[in-house]
Amino acid sequence: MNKQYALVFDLSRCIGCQTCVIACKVQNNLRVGCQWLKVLEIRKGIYPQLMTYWKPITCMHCKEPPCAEACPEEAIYKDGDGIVLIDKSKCTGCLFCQPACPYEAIQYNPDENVVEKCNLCLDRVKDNLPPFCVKECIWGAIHFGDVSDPGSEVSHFIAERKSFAMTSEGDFHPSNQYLSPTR
Amino acid sequence: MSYAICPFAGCHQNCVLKVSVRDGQIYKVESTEFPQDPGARCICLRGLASSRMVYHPERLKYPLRRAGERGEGKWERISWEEALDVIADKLLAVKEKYGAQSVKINSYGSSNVGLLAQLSGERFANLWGAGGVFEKGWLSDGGTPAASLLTLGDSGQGHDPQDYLNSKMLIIWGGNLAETAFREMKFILDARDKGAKLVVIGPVHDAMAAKADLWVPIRLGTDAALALGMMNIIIEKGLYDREYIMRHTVGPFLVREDDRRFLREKDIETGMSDEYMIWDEDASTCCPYDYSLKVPALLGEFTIKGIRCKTAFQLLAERASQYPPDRVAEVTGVPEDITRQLAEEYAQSKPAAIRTRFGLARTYHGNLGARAVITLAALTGNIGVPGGGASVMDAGFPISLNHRAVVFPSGAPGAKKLPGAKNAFQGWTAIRDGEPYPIKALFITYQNPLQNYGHVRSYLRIFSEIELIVVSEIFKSLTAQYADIVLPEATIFERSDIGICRHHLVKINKVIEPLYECKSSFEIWSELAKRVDLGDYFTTPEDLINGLLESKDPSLSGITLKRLEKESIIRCNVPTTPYIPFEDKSFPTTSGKIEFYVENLAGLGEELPLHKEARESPRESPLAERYPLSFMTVKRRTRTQSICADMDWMLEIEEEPHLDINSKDANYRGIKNGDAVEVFNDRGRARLKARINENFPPGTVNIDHGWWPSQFIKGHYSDLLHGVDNPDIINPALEIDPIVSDPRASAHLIYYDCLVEVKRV
Repeated sequence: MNKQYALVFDLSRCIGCQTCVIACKVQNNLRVGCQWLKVLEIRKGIYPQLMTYWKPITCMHCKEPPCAEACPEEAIYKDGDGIVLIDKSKCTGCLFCQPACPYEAIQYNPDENVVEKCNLCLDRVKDNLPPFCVKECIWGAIHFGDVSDPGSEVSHFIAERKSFAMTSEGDFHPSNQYLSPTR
Repeated sequence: MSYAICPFAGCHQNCVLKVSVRDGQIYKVESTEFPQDPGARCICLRGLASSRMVYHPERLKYPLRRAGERGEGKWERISWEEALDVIADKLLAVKEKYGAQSVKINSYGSSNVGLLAQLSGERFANLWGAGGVFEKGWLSDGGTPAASLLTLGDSGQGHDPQDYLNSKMLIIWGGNLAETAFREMKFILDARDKGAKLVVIGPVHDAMAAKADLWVPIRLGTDAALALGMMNIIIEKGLYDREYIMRHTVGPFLVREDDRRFLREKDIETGMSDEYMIWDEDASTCCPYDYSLKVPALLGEFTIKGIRCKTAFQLLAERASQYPPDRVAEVTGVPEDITRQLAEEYAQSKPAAIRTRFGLARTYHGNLGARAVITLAALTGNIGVPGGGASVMDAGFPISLNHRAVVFPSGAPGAKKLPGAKNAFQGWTAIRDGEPYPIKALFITYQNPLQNYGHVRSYLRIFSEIELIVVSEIFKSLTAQYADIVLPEATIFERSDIGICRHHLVKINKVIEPLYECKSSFEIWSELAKRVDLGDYFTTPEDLINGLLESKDPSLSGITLKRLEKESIIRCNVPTTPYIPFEDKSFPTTSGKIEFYVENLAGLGEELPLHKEARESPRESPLAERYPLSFMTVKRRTRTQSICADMDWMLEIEEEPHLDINSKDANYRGIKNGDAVEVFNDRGRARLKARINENFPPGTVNIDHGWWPSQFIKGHYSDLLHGVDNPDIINPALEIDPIVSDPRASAHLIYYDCLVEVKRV
């Protein structure tokens, strides 16, 4: 039975601190100006009727990844855990995949002339450790698990809370889920 | 791999970092697990990025000596030998001509991490007999500590945030912990998710307000009015805790109408004691306070031997009645129904916690707001109970290391406190005027006062008579730019030390060799000490650390340097239940009770809290005609004070400073998002880009704190603030005992008490 690992973001607990953004840079040794994970700030209203919440966004590890579809070198694929991965040895830096992603998850690395993105810290996952952003989110706003397993902890959260995925115009079935900002 | 305390510990979360090194370079920094205390694990975006400071290309590398005028920016590189010789020669010359006290040493700032680093300078100062007001750390936010000191007897009291899990309601009053206190924020979220109603009171819809169940927008500097308005409702509806007030506050004490001081036994019968007096309801007579045998009247007016008196609680009730909901709405902007609802809910949520932060008191009369908030908690019986409190700090079980052994070697003459200087600001003025003795040499370690504490020109006035200024730190800060000698310090990763994180002792091991020619504080003071015949007192770091650990405090029993070296992190012997202050209801005030009534302030009309407009009030100040906007400089997540302002990973998140302005104010001035603007008043001006920001109310503008002058188009936000030697900003209410001898409470920089105007340029 195939897994689908994904990140589940609890928007009621996310304080927009961007610790996850920097954690990802530490873990992946990203250069200045490069972020694989970003945090959007959504604001509504005028003073004093105001609302603000934050939404971390990264590769959604879609069931039907458009980036894989767009790649002429077949460098992008999904592994057995559902993680969408880029094989750097096949990547020619053509950038066809970049505009295909509705989440702007793909980053270009000019030093190596390849693209790169969130890989769910698969080296850590193989050692039964959660992705680094999950570990360093002290505020408990990011969960990691198998969303295709109805018995998993993350599936539990999704069922108990109002949750949603960031769907887009294409039918890519993003795997990452968001728990509503209001409990 | 080793542990370090985050070098940006000016936020006081003291997170323990796990540092991994490869080929002599730091390659990973992450949070540390605490198996015995899961709540101790913490890190944030700044801590994770801390190696970017270590390898920053513009970090101070070598000792520098000024080659032109102060502030001109001309420097020459000198050797450590030369730097220390020059400094030592100067110290000895100053001592000979003026006396040892003419050397002033500010020995550490809040981000100077590690106990050895923090205490080495103080040790030297005591050995030398240095002079000046001896402030050790950050000294600017005195308003809430002063209020806490007056009312409860302790300027730094607070509940361990883990205790919030016991609260039915949690009010965050005057701060943005969601960006400034990350460890504590986790507990706030946990408490909210457990069922506590999270209420946030403040003028800005910041990240903290965004997470609240109820945000109460309030006009800047009017918190006293809201707290008194809430007290008014609580007293009217009889929702106060009568028993608590009788037992633990000055509520039942009789106050003389003539001089507004407490009635004493000797006032009514010569030769009798100083005892406070109450009205015994059963016996219908006045007698000394004795709760155990009498039932004192809480309300009422009495005439005793011709002296007209009222109980302190009667006076408080009368004061509160001056703040009906409509007046509160007029003053604060808080709608009447919200004041009523909040008052009732707070009084009926048992227990309820209030957490005040420094933002509450950043106006001239801010201490009155803090006193009112603490009084509110006392009225409802929430002080000294689990799940309650009116915390002014994130506190824990007191752990008493043997500081004395390290900072005050036996036989040392001791550093002086400038006689006659009642508070830190008067200290600066005394230095400026050379009274009663001149300061001719000044050390500033890990502090950036010229940028962070008041107007730079005030410091230049103060510096003009000082012959040698030495600044020791990591970057060429604004303060360093006006020094004569600049010394490059080693970061926490480049030196060994010990630290405390949430009742854990941590052994910090050097993970990399100091870069360039950087030296640790201990090394610097040792080397200097050798040159002035005090070298014997700086043997080894281990000797000093051992001294620190030789403590009679049972919480430290069994903890030795040897054990620390083996185990790295040791939990002190403290209870596992969260610390709460005043559990025994013993208050270190003059009366031993909660003093919401402060008789020593009767002369200033502040014996009870009341609302007073800010000094630069947009409603009352004559300056408001030309400068109608209130100016704030709030603290944000990307910086701790000024220390990470130039770090590349932080600049990725936010590139440059902005002037936050509400769209109403912006439209009126023809300002669009991104326009270059000038913000100005009579004291100075700053030029930067505008950012339309609806989170700030119309009438209030902001520049986030911490950005360096080089990051502005022109000028800096500190050019708009008050000078530290300006006597007008010293509030006489904060010049009384015990405030003046308390390092935390004795300087109150009124950051948000500032009027400005903004125009497009």
